[in-house]
Amino acid sequence: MSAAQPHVPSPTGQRRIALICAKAGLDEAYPALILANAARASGIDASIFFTFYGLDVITEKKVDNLHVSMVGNPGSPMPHALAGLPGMDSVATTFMKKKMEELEVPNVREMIQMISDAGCRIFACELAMNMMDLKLGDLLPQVDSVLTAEDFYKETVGADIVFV
Amino acid sequence: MTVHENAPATPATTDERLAAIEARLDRITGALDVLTTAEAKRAEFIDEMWPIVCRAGIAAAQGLDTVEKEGWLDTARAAGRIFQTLLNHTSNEEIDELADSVLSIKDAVRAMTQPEVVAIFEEAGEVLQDADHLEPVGPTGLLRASSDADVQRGLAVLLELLRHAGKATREVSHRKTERARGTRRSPVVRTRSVAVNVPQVQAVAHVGVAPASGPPLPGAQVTALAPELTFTGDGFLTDADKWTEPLATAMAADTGFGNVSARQMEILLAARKVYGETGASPNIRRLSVRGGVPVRELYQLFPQAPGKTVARLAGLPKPAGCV
Repeated sequence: MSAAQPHVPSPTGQRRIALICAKAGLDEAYPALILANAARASGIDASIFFTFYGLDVITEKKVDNLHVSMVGNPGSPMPHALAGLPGMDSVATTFMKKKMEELEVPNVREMIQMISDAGCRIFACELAMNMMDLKLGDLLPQVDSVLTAEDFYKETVGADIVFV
Repeated sequence: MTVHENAPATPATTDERLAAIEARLDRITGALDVLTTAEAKRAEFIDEMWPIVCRAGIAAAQGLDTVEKEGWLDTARAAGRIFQTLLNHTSNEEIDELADSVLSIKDAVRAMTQPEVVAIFEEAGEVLQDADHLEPVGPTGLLRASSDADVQRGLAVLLELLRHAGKATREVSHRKTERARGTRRSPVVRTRSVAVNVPQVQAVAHVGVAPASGPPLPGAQVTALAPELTFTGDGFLTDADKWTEPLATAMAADTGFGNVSARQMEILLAARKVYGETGASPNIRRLSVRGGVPVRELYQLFPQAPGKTVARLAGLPKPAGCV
């Protein structure tokens, strides 16, 4: 029997990953959350840095209203001339949420709770918060801390950094 | 010729003496005449000047009277009071600032009072005076007007003005924030301690202690217990039905997991129950949703890859799915 090696820790120690989420579309939030969750499930240290519109994903008032846009989306099955019509976003969003539900993928709020429970650290960008007039109290309670970009690099020394 | 030169050193006769005296008297009279004429001229000058001076004085007095009557002095006094009030309500720092900006104020005033600028303002003023006669302009009128060369030029001027105003505004606000900032860097509280986050930190601390995969199965203990069992390349039991609780303990020992506590065994049994119900090896999500084990606890009790570790120790296949 060969050695089971689902993940290979680096010779220096723990493998780490740091994801940067800068957009708030469902199709942009989910990849970051799923990758972070999968990392933790594989024993990889994980953190997500939410910045710019990505802050919506961890903003109390917006987390349940994220949607997916067909506009400017080359993967959209819809003709682009129609994608911008009113109601198209909500159609696409409903469709995607339904599909995710069928696959037993939790909604974004639960997903954040899950990765937080899993030990994934959740960071908010200080500059983007100032820009959008957000306070720590406006964010989800799972947010660990508010960081500058510089702090983020300090927190994620040795991590693979992925811009989602 | 002087008196002394003409006078003989020693007079010879009485006639000669009298003649000498007469000559002196003549000269004295002449000198007196000169003096009298000068005095007369002075008096004449004063006589002539006096009325003029008087008129000037009266005019000055009348002028002051007019100033008083027309309220100029009151105005000046009020202006003085205003200035005093201004001074009273202006802090020293503000005065310093004003002093610092005196040069730029001077430049601004000079720029504003250049003949070209004044001419433009004059023109603009005339237009504003007649503003009530102008017709209202809608979007189409705006479009039509924009083809007029003069309007275009005016627009260019306005745009340039706006650009500079914007730039200046930005600089001013930048300077203000710089001043206000001081030592404080940001209004955002940087970190906060939340009680619920404490166990999570512990979970992270566990990470890396014991790799989930560990040595390949079957190891020494598993072989000793049940040599007939087979395992996949990833170290998962091929036949879930062959699982027993002692086997879980043996697998935990072989993989370096350590002892299996009562709670951990409970979780393994819960995982097997979910597997029995759904026919699929549960991942973390299903373990928590269907098995009722909180995600946080899973990560605490099985720090390294809880989904796979639970499945392995519970004798189930490797769980599938990303979530």
